[in-house]
Amino acid sequence: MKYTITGDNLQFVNVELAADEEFHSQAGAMAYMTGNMRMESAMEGGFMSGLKRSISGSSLFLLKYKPQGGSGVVGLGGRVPGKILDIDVGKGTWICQSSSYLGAEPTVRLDLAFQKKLSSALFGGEGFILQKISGKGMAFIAACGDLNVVELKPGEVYKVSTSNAVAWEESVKYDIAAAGGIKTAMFGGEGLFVTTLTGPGKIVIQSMTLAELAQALIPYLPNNN
Amino acid sequence: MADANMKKAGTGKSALGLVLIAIGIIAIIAAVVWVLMQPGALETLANVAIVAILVIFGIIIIFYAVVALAAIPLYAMKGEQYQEGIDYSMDDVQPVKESSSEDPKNGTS
Repeated sequence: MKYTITGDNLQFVNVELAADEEFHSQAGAMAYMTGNMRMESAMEGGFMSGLKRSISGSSLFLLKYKPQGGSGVVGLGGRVPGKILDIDVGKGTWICQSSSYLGAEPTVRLDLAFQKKLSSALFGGEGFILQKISGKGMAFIAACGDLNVVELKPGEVYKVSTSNAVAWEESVKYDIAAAGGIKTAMFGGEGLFVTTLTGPGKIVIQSMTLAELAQALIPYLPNNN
Repeated sequence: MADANMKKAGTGKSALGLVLIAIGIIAIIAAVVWVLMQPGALETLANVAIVAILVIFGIIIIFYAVVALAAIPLYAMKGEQYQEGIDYSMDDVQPVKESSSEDPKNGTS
């Protein structure tokens, strides 16, 4: 499989498959495909796997792409203005915010993951339910805004605004901490808590969440008055 | 050349399936309308809906109240955490741009 990720803030991932290769994506992600490509929806892994995928923000059915007797190309697009990120899952399991999975090689496994701590689930900004991407091969995730990737060394800590952590390697410890004193908590705009990500491992941070984007657009939405 | 290599996979059975699904949806809507037209059915359904909405609202309010009450003790317990005597560099922060499988370091991981 060969791929390119193109575009600025509404990116494509363009995947070229050889005749015997296959690629999976979540339902609705396909933007285009060549004439020799066939897609088929399948409840990959059975009903329970499909249900878990669905709960994690992906789709009950996955789309399977396979070129017919030659190489073919399929292009996927994200659902929100933002970036697409390529992840080599063979080098480590990743935990991602729900709905971020876009597509992957068939050897990649998408599963449901839960926040381990109740406090992180309630106040970390990512909720109880996350996506776990494991196995072997390339996977693609999409998130709103621009993305930064940081490789944390053991013991290094990044404090991230709640809900701005897109993905992190399983080795990274996810927790919350107080944002600051009473002045910061009341007037800092970050609320009571920030998310803390402690290395070792890679983390992906977004500049803007979908909720922030929606909130920023509200004053400019047309009304009937 | 492309036309010469074009093949057609039949979708007749799929179309028939779609028609059957559409008929099924119409039948379900008709059944619901018929039930609602029975005397007393609408009143019973409205009562059930009101109770269900009140219960859902109650659960949501209780959940948010518990979360709000838990936030303050947790805020006190967690404290503001910060490190001292460690250097971080902006060079460690890599922006996500266009990429490809041909890149020497493809894949984020």
